[in-house]
Amino acid sequence: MPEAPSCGLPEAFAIAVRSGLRLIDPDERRPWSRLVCTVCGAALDVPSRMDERDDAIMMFRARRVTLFARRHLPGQVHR
Amino acid sequence: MTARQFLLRIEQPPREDQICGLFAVAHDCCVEVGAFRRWAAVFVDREAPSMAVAVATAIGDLDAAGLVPIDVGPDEELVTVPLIAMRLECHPRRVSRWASGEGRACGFPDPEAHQGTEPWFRWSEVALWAARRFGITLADPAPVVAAANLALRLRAVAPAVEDVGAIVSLIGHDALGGSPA
Repeated sequence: MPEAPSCGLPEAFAIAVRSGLRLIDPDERRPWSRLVCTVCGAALDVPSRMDERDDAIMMFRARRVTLFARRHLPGQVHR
Repeated sequence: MTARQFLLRIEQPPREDQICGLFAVAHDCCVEVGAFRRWAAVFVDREAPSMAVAVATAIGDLDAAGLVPIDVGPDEELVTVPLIAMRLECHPRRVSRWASGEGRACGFPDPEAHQGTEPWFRWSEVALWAARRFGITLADPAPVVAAANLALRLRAVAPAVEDVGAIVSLIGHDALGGSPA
């Protein structure tokens, strides 16, 4: 087991996309990242400012992305 | 300071200007709209001196963004090694040792899932293990969640209650932790 593993936010997004979720990058209209389940329309909005000095915030965001992706894996009952 | 994690269910899926307003004041929140837009919630990861302060300030942030919180819920169950370390206030390497095969003899719970090489555990099992092994009494968020939900409920019905101050006065000074005058 790796020492103190911590899945970063970019990796969490990448895994979510590979599992079938759609990632909408920030733009002027919507300055945050949005993950969308293409099956049920569920969406997770994540602040995208990358100048956070607090690594913990990024770790927490990565966790939220991962848990959202887990809820919307193929074969899951979407809720 | 400790990170406090919880969710605030909101009355309806937020508009984009409301999300923008929330993220302008709170970088420690994520907003989720559930399947088929049947529910919506704000997930909060907030550093605060207490759970009560974290919940109250988060509700204030939602208010400022024009979102209507309807209830507070506990955090999601699955946790990573770094998050366990934060909650138990120890180094992540120590948690990794407990969680590894080498340390499994200490009875640390099995992972519930893996993300790549990263194991994910059920917090309720880890907390129980920590209590048994170290006698650690972790703060129970349930009373704060219950109190916040009562406050939100009172706030919602207050406009329809004549002389609502009389009702509010039932929460006496003693009940709020003050000493008698």
